[in-house]
Amino acid sequence: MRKMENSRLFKLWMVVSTLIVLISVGFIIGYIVLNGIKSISLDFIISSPKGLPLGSEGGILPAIVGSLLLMLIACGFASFLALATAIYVVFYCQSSQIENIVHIIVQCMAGVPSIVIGLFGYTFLVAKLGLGRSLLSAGLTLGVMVFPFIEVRIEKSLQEFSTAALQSSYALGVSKAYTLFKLVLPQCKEDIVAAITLAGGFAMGATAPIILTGAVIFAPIPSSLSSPVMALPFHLYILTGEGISLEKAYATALVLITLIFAINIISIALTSRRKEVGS
Amino acid sequence: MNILELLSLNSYYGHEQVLYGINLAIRKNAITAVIGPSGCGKSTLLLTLNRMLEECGGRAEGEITFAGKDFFSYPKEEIRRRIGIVFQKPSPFPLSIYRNLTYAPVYYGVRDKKKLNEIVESKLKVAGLYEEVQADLHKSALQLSGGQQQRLCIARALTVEPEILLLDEPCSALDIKNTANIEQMLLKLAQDYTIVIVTHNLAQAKRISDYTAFLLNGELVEYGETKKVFSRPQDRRTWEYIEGIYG
Repeated sequence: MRKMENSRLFKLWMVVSTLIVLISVGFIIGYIVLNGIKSISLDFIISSPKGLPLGSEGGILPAIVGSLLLMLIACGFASFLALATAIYVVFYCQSSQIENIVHIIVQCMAGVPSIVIGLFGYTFLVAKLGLGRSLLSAGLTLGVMVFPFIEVRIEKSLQEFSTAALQSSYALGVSKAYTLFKLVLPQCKEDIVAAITLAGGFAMGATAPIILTGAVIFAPIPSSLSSPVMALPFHLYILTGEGISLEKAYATALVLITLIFAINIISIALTSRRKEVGS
Repeated sequence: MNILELLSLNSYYGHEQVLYGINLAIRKNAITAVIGPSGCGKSTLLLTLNRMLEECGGRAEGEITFAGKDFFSYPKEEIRRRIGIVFQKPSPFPLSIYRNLTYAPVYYGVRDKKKLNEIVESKLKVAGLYEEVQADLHKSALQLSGGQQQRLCIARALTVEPEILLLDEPCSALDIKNTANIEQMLLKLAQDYTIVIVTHNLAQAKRISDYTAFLLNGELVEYGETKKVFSRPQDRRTWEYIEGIYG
């Protein structure tokens, strides 16, 4: 009798929690879609902010392009480092002490508040290295933020690779590098790409790291790595924070959410394809 | 002729010694069976012989002569190529059947498509797998049955033309029919290769091997022609093991 009650309570807890989450997420998205869809037009997507104050009219093209470029730089930089770190830890590191130290560092990095990472980017990249407030500084700062996110996922995927198959490969006298490039990485490719895309969505939505390092209220589409850049989340922050235009803010939020949503769907599609092939 | 001679070989995992002073001479083009109860060091012996022991966190000491030269003077990759190993659990690569078999040859520089096809076909035939899989060489090796996977692993070990083939209980996970298939294949292979097979199955050792080595607690208790070892064992412990008194 007691057991039945417990399991009923447990079920209730699950159902209620799920409903609360679904309803609130649905409400947020629905609200933004309803309010934003009115101001969305082709013109909004393909033109620059206009009007006085700036942004009250016109579109958000430079912010869309800026956000995508920031994402590319962040993902490129972070995955370059993360892939190497994960491969080192899983396949080359002989000492478990070093492995632990790397894990602790990665975990600490994941826990650093994004505004602190932004301040780090400002002092180190913008001021010390003299890169200025630019697309490059902001992209690299975002890269620092998503690095642990990518590294942990790639490492997990590499770790899951069959030990027996690895041993068999080494037993044929084949080198570690060949084993990695011909056997392990092709098998983990989807997981790796999925981790990077997911991180891209994360990077695109982040505001704190870019406020001080490169995002500006208005800039044309960046012409080089050293130009300042507009970004969707920062533009959104300005539109609402300065009370410029609530309508445009909803529309901007809608565009941002749609982009992140699309990126996540790509990532999920990649992971599930991997599972089908693997079975 | 002896292809491999072991002189007071000791193997360790960390501080734990697993093999004690093994003296063993492996005859060329013969099948040598290594028998003994679980945990007696049979698998460690095989891992030592193709230098996979280091990969598993162990090390070996002693004198080994391979093809007339000091075993430890060869680069370990060369040893692994010339002394192949097949593990107990079938471990095909998560690739197609074809790619499983071309994986190592491509690494060793075979690029010619025709040559690769030849290798695939001939090794599959040797392993008695060709008829069963020829219709679709490009399906995933993971879709094969356990017995087929193990025969594929043997074929894969042969693609690098080893001189010695080590097998670690290759049939322990297989049914009678697949076991018979593999035994047939090994008898045929012994014409061209030297085979060392670790087995739990005494009947199997009796059926296919020319020489038998009995290991107990990391020591070589008895080694000789299979017929003699099974009919007139010299050591009491061998007799007890064969009679099923322990193990």
